[in-house]
This record gives sequence, structure tokens and C-alpha cells, in this order.
Amino acid sequence: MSVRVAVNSVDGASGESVGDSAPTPSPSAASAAARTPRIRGHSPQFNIVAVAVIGVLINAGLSFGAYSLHDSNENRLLEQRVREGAAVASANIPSVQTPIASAAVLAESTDGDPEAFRRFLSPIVGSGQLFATVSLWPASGVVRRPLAVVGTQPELATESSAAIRAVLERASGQGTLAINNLLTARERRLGYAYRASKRAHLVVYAEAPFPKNRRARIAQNEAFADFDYAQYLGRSIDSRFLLASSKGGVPLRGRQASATVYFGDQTLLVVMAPRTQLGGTLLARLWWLLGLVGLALTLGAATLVGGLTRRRQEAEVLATENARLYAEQRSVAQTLQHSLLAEAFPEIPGLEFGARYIAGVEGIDIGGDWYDVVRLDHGHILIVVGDVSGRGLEAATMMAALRYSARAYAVEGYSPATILTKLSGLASVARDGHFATVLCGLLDVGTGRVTFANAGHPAPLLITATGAEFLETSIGVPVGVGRGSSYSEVEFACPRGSTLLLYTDGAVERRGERLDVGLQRLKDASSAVDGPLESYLDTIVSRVLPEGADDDTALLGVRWRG
Amino acid sequence: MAGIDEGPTKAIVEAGFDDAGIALVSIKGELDLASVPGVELELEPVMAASPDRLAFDLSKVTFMDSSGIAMLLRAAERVPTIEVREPSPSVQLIIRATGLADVLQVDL
Repeated sequence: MSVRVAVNSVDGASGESVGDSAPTPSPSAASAAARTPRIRGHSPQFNIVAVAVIGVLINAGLSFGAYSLHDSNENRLLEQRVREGAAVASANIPSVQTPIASAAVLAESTDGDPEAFRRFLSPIVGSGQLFATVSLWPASGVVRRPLAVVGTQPELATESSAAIRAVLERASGQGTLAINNLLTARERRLGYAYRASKRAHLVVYAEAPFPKNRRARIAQNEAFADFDYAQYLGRSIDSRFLLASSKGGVPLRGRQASATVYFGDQTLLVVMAPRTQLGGTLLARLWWLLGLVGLALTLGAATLVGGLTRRRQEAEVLATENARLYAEQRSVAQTLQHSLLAEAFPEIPGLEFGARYIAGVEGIDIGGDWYDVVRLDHGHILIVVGDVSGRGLEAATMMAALRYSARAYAVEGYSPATILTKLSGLASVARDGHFATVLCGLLDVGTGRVTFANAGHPAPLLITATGAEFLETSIGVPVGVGRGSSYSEVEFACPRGSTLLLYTDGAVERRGERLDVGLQRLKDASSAVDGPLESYLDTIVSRVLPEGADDDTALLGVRWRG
Repeated sequence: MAGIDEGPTKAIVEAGFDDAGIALVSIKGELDLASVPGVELELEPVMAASPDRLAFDLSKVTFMDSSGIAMLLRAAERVPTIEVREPSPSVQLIIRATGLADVLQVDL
């Protein structure tokens, strides 16, 4: 027996349901994206779609993999079963051939005795029997009628003598049935011609009916209960030549496999289609189970990503809004501070004043730096630079209090050291949480001398034609550290054309750097420039604070005109 | 995000006692406007114990500005005797510049 197996899958469900379900942004989602302010990163819609697309692709891949596995598994199992089915069909052939062959041998040995022929065959011929008719024919010569007939008149007898001859001659006497295809006739039949041997003179010819919906024996076989089944005469699926089917002549659908076996001098095509999943239902369902679970996970992930992205954007919007509010607040504070500081300097012959205030970028609160120039009697000028520690309203309030108190004490005629002592009685780090460094200088316009008292403040710079140098003031404790602290005064001479530079620590302090480095930088920046006081201060600021100040910074310059 | 402080300055505080049983607070990092409020929160339990004497080890302080000075001064107001041990060069410079060596009992 030779078996040829062909498998063709017509199962149309492969994975298409998965790929179609990628969510696409709806028009309303797109307009929502347009309303969102432009922010870094992708929109929630984009992220949702991206995650969904990636998820669906992965799903599709997994599902396709599971489906392919299932598919190839089913095909392999089906191929195996259709071979078995073909073998069963092949094993059924002798049940047709044996009685015909036996009748042929009998006829040959009785020299065609019609009586013996009838006796032998009558039990298996007739309505409901294996054959509708069996007849005896001469193996050669021109024949028109059978020598003997059991049952009804064979269809063959209605044909031309050439056609009869052609059928009978195919019975070659080599142990093979010659199949006469009468399936397209009005009464569907198959004819079988058999000759006992090559030298035999007689041919036995039988015809069996094939009603369209005849159930095949193989279909009743329990081993194949799970299959739909069809047998065709020939090598192709042609409903005209359907011999048997479990579906009553309806073509098989879905996954199917076929195998051919020899049937007399023709072939039989055995086609089988499983009614259930051969590899088990779990494997069969795995691909769409994976798809469903994956889709659910993807939907969840996309929703989560969308939510997170939206929340991040909301947070960013909030942060941007906060930053704007802070900046606004800060600028209000700066305006306030500048209004406190930017008073016109007194017009003193022979003296020039200039100041800069640079707001630090750190924090948003107003700083406590200040400078002041107060014209006093008898050709004296008080210059003050101070710095209240910390920031905020408290620091600014303390700054204002110290600034106006210093003015008042100066107008009263107190010396710089006494002014500082009096200021120290006003503030307390224990009470206010802040302290202040204050540098207080009294200028004698006539003599060009300046008397400094210092409450913990960075030393002033005196810039002359020979360069810049820090004035060695006597440094006392900052204001607010001890009540009634005493301070010492040191007097310096400022030559004509020289410049005094007072500043707060923002000009010299820099993170990750020692204080003396910053002091040296300021000294270098101050000594290497010339020109009018205003541009001189600008140059110093640009050299000392090229990237802006960390902390608030105040500069006060006093120049003796040459 | 202009206008909002980005790199928060960090200071690590360890509180304990030295061999002589004096309360000792070691600070590592930067003492500035940004870090001082946090440091003071961690100092609070030490302060709450009302020690007679409190020592600060500032050898690992890399940067200190007037906020750090203010913190030390506030501590000095609550503890009878305060001292600063092994101040790093940065700390030494700012303490010297503000004339606080005596108040903070720093040997410069």
C-alpha cells in the first residue's frame, strides 16, 4: 500500500483578531492634547498609544507563536491519523474483492456453469446486500450480453460492445480489480471486473450501489469517532466521485488532511477533518487566551502609563506655575528691597558714590544685605554695609531696623564703634534667629580719612594707584550675638583718586571654595580696572560674579575725586 | 525650572558623646541656607537634653556661610558652653572673618 499525505489548513482564524485591536487616538483625545500646554516629554495619548502598540505587537507575536505551535501540532497529529485512516480503508478493500475473486475462480473451474455461479453469489447480491448485480462475461471476443446474471441487469450491459470490451479487458488476471466508474450515472454505482488468471476465459463483473450519503465503515470505527471523513474515487476531491462520507456528501471544512491508497486499478482518496482539537483544547485555546490576557495587560499598562504621564504633566504644569509664582513673588520682594536701597546718594563735592545689588539665584526669599550712605554735619559721611544672616521677611525686617537705627545713631553723632554697640543691643540671635555683620565707616571729607568699626563683616578694600588692599579693621562679633558688645575703631587715609569698596559676603563666598580664594578674586578684580566709578563697579561685578550670584550681594563704592 | 532650588545641599549630622562624655555633634557637608534647617531639626534632641557643654566637629564641613554661623550662634544661646573642634579651613576662615572665634571658642 502506498500512502501519500497532503495537508492543507483552511482554518482562517490565524491571529487576525489580535492585530486589529490597536487603540487609535480618538478625535477628542487629540483635541485634549492640543489644549495641554507644551511640556517636555510625550503627551499621555502618545504614551498610551505607544504602550498599546508595543503591547499588541508582543501579544500578536505570542499569540501567533502559540497558534503556530498549535497549528503545526494539529497538522502533525492529523497526518498521522489520516495515514491510519487510509490503512483502514485499504484493509476494507478485500471485503469487496474476495467474493468476486472467489466467484471468478468458481466460474473458471465450472467452465462458466450459470447455476453454480448463481448459487454461490445469490446470498450477497440484491437490495441491501454488498452487490446489486454480479454477472459473468467471456474474457475475449465480441460480447453484448453476459453469460449469466445474479440480481438486476448490470449497467454495463446497456453500454456499447466496445465500452463493455474496454472494461472487461482491464480485468488483467493479475489479482487486481478493474474499477468501472459509474458514479456519474443515474444510479450511482461502482463496477468491479475480475479475471481469475491471465489464462482465464471468464470475467466476473459486479456492481455495487453508492448512495450519496452512505456512511463509510471507517467512520463507524471508534478510533476515528472524532473525525469527519470522506472517500473519493481518484486522486482529487470531486463530489461526483464521493464514495462515502461522514457528512452525507457535504464537503469537509476546516483543517483536513488526505491520503491515497490503491483501490483495484484506481486510487482512493481518503480525506479526514478532526471534529475536535487533536492536541487538546488548552493548546488550541492558548493563542487566543494569550491574546486576551495580553490585551487585558496591555490595556492595563496603557491606562497606567496614560495616568502616570498625565499626572507627571499635571505635576509639571503645577511646578511651572509654582516657579512662575515664586519668580513673581521674588520680583515683588526685589522691588521692595530695591526701593529700600536705591535712594539717591548725597551730592558731596570731591566724592562719588556707586552701588550694586545683585539678587542671588538661591532660594526665593528676599535677602538681608544692605548698604547706606548718610550725610552728617561737619563734612562727615557715614557709610554702612551690612548683611543679616538668613533670608525672608524676618531677615528683611531686621535689615530695615538696623539700617534706619544706624542712620539715627549716626545723625545723633555717635562714632562707628558706638553705633555698632548700640545696634548689637537691638538684635539678638537667640530671639530673632538672625544676626548681622555690619561694617560702619565714618568719612571725613576734608581730610580723606575714614574710621571703620567692624561687626564680623568682610574687610573693605582700598584701591589706589598702586593696587588693591584689604583694610585691617578690628573685627568684633556680629550684631545680635552679644548684648552691648564693644568694638574698636581703626582709621585709614584714603588718597585722592582712590576708591573704597565695601561689599557683602556674596561677592566672595562661593560653594566648594575657600573664603580666601574668593577674597583674592575680588582683590584682583578690583585692582586691575580703571575708569569711572559706575563702569568700574560693572566690571567688578562681571568679573567676580560672571554667572550671577548664589547669594544676594551688595557692593558700595566710594571714590575720592582726584 | 528656573527659580526653584535644584541641587539640595546636603549635610550629614551625627550626634554622640566624646571620650570625656561631652555632647559631640559631627557635621559633614555644607552648612548653608538650604541645609541648616534640616541640621537644626537633627540637633533638637541634643539641645532638648540641655547639655552643659556642646562640641561641634566641623572638620568635614566643606562650605559654611552666615546661615551656618547663625546656627552655631543660636546653639550658643541655648547651651552654656559651646566649642568648635577641628574646624575645616573654610570654617576657620568664615569664623575668623566674622570675629566669632571667642564666642564659638574656636582655637584658630
